[in-house]
Amino acid sequence: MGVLWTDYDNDGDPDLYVANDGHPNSLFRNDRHRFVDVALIESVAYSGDGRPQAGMGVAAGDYDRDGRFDIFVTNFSQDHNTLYRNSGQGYFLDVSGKANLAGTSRPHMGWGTFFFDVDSDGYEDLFVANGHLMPEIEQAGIAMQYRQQNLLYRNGRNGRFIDISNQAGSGLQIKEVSRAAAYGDYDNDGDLDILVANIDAAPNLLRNDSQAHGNWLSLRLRSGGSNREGVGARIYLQTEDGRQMREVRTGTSFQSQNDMRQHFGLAKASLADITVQWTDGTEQHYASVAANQFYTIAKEAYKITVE
Amino acid sequence: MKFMFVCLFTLCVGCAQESTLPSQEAGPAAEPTLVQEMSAQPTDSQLFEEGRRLQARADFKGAEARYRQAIAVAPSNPQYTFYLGTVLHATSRYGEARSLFEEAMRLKPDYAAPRIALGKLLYDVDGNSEAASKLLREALELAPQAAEARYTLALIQLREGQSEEAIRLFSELVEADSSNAQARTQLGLAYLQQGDIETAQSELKRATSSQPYYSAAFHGLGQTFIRQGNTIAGQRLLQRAQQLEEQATQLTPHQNALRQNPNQPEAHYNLASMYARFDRLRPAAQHFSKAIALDSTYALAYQGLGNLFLRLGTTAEARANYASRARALYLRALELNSQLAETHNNLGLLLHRSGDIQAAVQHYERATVIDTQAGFYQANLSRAYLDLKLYPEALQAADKALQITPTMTGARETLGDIYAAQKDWTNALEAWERIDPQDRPSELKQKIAQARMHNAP
Repeated sequence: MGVLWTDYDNDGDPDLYVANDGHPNSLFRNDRHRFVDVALIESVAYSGDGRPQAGMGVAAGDYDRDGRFDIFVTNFSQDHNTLYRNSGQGYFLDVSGKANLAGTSRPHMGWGTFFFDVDSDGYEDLFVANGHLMPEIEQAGIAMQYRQQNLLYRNGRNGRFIDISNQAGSGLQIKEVSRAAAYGDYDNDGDLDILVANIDAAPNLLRNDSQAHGNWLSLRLRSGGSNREGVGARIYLQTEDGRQMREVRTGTSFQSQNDMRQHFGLAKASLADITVQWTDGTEQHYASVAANQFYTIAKEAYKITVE
Repeated sequence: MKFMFVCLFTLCVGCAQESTLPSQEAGPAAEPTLVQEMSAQPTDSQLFEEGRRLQARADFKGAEARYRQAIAVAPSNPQYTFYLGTVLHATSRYGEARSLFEEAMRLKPDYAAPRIALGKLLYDVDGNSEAASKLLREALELAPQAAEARYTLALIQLREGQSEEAIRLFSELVEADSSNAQARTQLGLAYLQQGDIETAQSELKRATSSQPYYSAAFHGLGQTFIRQGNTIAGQRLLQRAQQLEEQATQLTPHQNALRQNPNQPEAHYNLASMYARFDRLRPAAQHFSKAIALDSTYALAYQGLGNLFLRLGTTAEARANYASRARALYLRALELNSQLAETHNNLGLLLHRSGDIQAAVQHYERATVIDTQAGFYQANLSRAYLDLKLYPEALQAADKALQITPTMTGARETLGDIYAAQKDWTNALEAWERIDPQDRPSELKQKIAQARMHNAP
């Protein structure tokens, strides 16, 4: 179902994670000349209690800012969405419960999902698009519905996420049969908006009108050759508050494509140092980049410019 | 193995005894339901018992109807209300199920079972861990020994990241019942979540010992080895976990079919065949035997049981003993159905091994006539003719085997052996050398070397 390219083991090449609806998920480690499925070894095939789940959408992000990408998988209703924290020691841990993502997700059937810093506080938050498979499920009563509310979790910066779906405005109260979901700053106002595709209904464009968000910075990578948008490149951003990282990705979520520009929340910081690791190993540094601007980084020119 | 033998033999003898039972014992069609036996006005308890019987067979529609009838007769019976709720829960009608559990609790305030069921439902469907945990704790106060309540509560705690509480509850479960592999597995996984690898490993080892077919235990145990740096042992266990999971996937539909049709011999036979495929001989034997007990004329089940005996025995004496039992079962199968090609072939193998080659040839030939597309029946026939030094017949059978299955190395080796027996080293070499070098056992390699010497100018 969902497919994700990410360099989970920080060895400089992209690995492939696949959510396999109803079967153990796969993690194909890139060993340069071949891919090896290490999902069982890395503990990302099953839930923490040893069950295969119905993996749908996938996302990767460094939600705990420890310099390693963690993996989030959406699953069927009456089961929980799973957050695998990357321990950096050759295995992941199912921390869904500890992160407050287990019980809150059980009534929902999750699809598109992504980490994104919705409030620009420097910590990646989480969005999940929901909607059941079976229209007749509404006859079941209680919380199970065909049309379902999407979920927005704010990163509590302590390993836990807080479900703020009901406090996040009318856009998050909509109940549809959602599937694909992507983020992007479509109105170029410095915060990230959300687009959700629905079954038998028009898509929902959720504009982020939050007033309570920090400083930010948006980066677009440009390169010559075939990889013009720097897919696979990793970007580190350092402020006095610590270090964040992003990876330029295509796909992920569920049948979706996010904004190729990389949005970083800076909280109160007004300047940031940026490092770009390109896929060919080239590393570039940009010091004291001012906040609240859209930038383009040109690899060959080794230059950062305001858009 | 010895215990397996005793068990199998007892069951087999039981089958023979069962064959004398009256035919109305044989199948579901002849078995009257409780309702059929009832008078015009069944009592509420009769209706309830019928509902329970149907529910056990996963006939939820029938069970629901009986429970509703029972409630119509005795509307204030909390048990009837509770069980109706369980049927609705099982059929995903959660709203009504919830109301019924609450009603059962109202009718009998000290009733633990609906609290457990409602707790499960609230967590599974609503994700409401707090309300679910409260109900399950109440249930444990009412029924401190209720393992289901304790297990469910523990699992919720584990899934919600409360691993310490989960460990306490799972520990209580395994203290109460040391053979509870499911609870011990989850206990191990909870320790794993906490990062206590050694304790996790110890618990998971015990779980795999007491339940060697529970994939989650092997999976967890594999993780502990990997986290200790023993990747080879860890990977081996993870592979075992994967195998068991695949087996479970293939077994489940047959187990469900049996649950719905517990008196159908075919359901037992199919499940037994699946167990046999996975080398799980004890349950295979149990279900083949049950199929025979239900239908003493079920020839395939005798064959299946015979095949199991062929796989037993670690010493020559034991193997001979098992072989004689297998032979008796094959003969019984053929008495019931003389058209079973596999039974003829396997009986031929037994006779061949025991030196009665003429009799073996008869059964191999019968097998090849019944199933003309099975190359290995022809290959076995060819080998038997060779042993009888009937070379033209042996050649003809080997050729047929290779026409049907050109890649059959056994048939090709036999073909070479037939030529070699006639000192036709050129043709023998040609046959043997067509076998992929990687598939050549050392004995064949020696034969090739000798043939080359004979064939040298």
